[in-house]
Amino acid sequence: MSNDTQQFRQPTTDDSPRFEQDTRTTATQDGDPVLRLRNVTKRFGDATAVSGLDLTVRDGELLTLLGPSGCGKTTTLRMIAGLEAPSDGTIRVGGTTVADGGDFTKPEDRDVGLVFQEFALFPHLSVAENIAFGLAESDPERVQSLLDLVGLSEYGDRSPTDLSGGERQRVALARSLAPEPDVLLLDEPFSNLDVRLRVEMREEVRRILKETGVTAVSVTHDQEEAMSISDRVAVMYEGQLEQVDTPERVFQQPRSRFVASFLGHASFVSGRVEGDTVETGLGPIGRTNVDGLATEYDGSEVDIMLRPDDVVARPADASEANGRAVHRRFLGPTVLYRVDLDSGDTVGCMHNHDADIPLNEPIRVDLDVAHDLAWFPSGSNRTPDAE
Amino acid sequence: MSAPDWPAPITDRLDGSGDLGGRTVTAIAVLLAFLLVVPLAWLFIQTATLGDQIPALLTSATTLAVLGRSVALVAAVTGASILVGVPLAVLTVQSNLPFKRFWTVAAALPLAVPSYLGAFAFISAFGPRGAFVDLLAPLGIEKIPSVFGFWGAVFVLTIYTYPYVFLTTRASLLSLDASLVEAARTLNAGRFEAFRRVTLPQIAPGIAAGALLVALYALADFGTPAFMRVQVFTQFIYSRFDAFQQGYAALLSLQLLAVTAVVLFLESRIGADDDGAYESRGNRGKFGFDLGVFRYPAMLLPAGIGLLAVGLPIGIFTAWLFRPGTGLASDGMAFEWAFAANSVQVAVLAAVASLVVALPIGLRGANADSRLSRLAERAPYVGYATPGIVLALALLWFTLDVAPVVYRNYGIPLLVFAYVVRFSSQAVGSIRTSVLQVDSRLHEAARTLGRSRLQTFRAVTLPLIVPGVATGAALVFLTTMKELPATLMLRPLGFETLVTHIWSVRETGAYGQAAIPALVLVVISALSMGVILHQEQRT
Repeated sequence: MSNDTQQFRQPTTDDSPRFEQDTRTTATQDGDPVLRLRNVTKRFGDATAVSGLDLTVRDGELLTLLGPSGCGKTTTLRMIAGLEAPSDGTIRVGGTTVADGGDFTKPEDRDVGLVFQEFALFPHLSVAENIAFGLAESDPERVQSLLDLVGLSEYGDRSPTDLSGGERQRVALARSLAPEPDVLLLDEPFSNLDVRLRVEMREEVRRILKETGVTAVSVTHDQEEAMSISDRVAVMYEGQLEQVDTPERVFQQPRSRFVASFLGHASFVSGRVEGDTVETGLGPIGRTNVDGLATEYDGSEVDIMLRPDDVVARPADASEANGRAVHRRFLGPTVLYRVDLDSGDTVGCMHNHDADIPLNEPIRVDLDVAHDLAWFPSGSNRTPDAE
Repeated sequence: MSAPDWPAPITDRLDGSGDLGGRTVTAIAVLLAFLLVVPLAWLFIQTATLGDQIPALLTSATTLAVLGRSVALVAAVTGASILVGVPLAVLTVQSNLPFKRFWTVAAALPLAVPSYLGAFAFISAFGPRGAFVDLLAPLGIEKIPSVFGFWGAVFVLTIYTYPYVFLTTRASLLSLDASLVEAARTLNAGRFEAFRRVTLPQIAPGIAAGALLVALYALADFGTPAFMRVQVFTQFIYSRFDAFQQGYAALLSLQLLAVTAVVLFLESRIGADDDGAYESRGNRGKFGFDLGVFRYPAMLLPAGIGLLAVGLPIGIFTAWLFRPGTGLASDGMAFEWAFAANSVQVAVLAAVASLVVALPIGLRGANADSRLSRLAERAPYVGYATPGIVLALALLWFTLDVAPVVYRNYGIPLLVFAYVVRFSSQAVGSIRTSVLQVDSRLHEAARTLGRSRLQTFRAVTLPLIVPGVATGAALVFLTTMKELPATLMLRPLGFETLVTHIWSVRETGAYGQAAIPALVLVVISALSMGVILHQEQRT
């Protein structure tokens, strides 16, 4: 490590994983594909909601379709469920093709379950009757074991209208799991819950899904929810998949500036590749610390993506300083500073809530990261290999 | 460019209810529309038999007088209903009137008495040799102004139809944003100025909606003008029919239809912007009129109207029960319970047949896709707006000309058909409302849980809409029980119902014979009003 480049806390080497692989994903990496979408397209009149979607979900995996409203994620979910017919492309569930051009399997003939945003419990049926609805024949034991699974053992005789939001969601989940679907779909499953319950139910839903081992696809526009429950996240934008990866990778190694910004606060610091270093307004950064920045980019202009927690600021005298904080946003546990660098770039900088960085005075901003940084060629919205 | 936010289709083609016999529905509705339109077309054919007499008849003094009298009656009844209904609504919503809930019910109660029964009671009380005159006789007063005629009809129709204005105005007042009036007051508008400048413009659509219901009722009502002896359209058409002047009756029917169309057109214009007026904007705080020393005397207004409109008929009919000559076997006109059984029989048939028609149309949901099916969906409502006398005449001539065997041998089915055409829209509306209340996600949930479209309908949709279906059937049943003109004209020979019996009693003058059927009808009307109010509360 030379002293003139920015310091990395834990320099990574090529023969170790770039970041710790979550054990929960390894089990599913080599599972059999249970759901396959090939070139799936949906047009509504002249408008294209989903275009050329390719996606594979493996056995036991929990994948989340993440994107802003109108990105086509719910349409995709409804096509998998059979509630919408694709205009083009094929969908395979289990070993069966359920949609292929004109061929289309009706929702009731697919082994797909769907948990609705508003839960859609049948108001005229009891909790137990709701759960039993999808069973071919009466099976009180199975219903009871599902009630136990979702923690509502004593609730079988109640009416859904008497339940709280969290309880309704548990019933909806149990109902969809009852027929043992190949794939379970969850449409914005937490959006109807209040904030505190939402966090609790995320853990609970993940526990239930993992306990049953079901393959699940969830849809949300909440990036925190997507990252906290999923094995993999599929980020959608304007009807297309931007990136499908583990939560850590979509957050740390976004393949497009849209993904970078949608998953959290992202700053872009311009720099120029010169040999083994990238010269930036934060000082030189080692080229090998930038993910996939090969030697052939020597001499080119690049933008390095930084998360607010990738940098630290401290008051400094004029000789050391490389910028000044211009805005302070108090967020409770943390404080987000907006720092104008002398180089002309702007970076967000996250500190503990008790930090006190002076505004409009010279400060020094340094990198403080343990992972490789993502980058984009100057003027391009995607990393080169993602184009 | 970002993709639009896709709204989930309410009823797409995969939905449980959406496709349930879409074609069947369209076919049924088209058939119904056809069956309705063809007899109405017969009116044109009948009219055409008049040949070159048409212009002369159209401009004859008699025709013009009937037209003028009808329009005047409608205008007077509508205006008087507003004058009675709006103040009562303000009184029961915004003032500090004591026992407001009681007076609200009392003010709506006249709807529970068919207006022709009210008219019957009035002529019995105030007519020549009536109860009122009997009371006055010892005082030396032998003659009071005749209750018959135009103003008598205006009076009777007003006290039985103003509740339409009362109820719609009340709904508007209840949904009014209280802070608007408060804002006006803080801007130095007085109490009455605030009412005139802020409240009134906002409840105007509600008033208008009620007023148009009154206008349609007054225009199409057959019984009241008959009892009050006013030659308006319905009466004059009936008398021309009686006199075998078919062509003239048809011409007048077309004229009546045209006037009805004008009223409906006005209604559609107002209906276009009334959704805002009914919408609740929350903040329904307390505000209003302090009646001061008039707080208790103000109760006389609803009390007086209630007594006149409800107390009087019930009192009169009850008195008839105890009058000599009520004896069940006094003459050939005696009341028999078989008449009630006949009423129930046709009403049950009409309710069942209406369900058969209304279920598929109501299930179709609000988004029929083809213009044809949308048009066909309106058919039941066209039937509802057609005055009963016109529909009855058209059906009668049509069957006599085209298939007299139907009239001779299938009188009851013909009668039931007329009821279905006139009243099935009530069932359609009730079913439609309950279907729209079923979340389409429930269908989708059932589909993803492995149920087919038909199974979904059985397991999810049907149980959820049963109350709406039952309400619809009840409404058809109850309105059929009260129906007068079509029953009168289309019933098979010798087929007496409660209503036709009352009609014959009117002609013979043996009023006592009408006591039981009249009271039964009042009870039935009260039930139907209860059903309507219950339904409004639910939605």
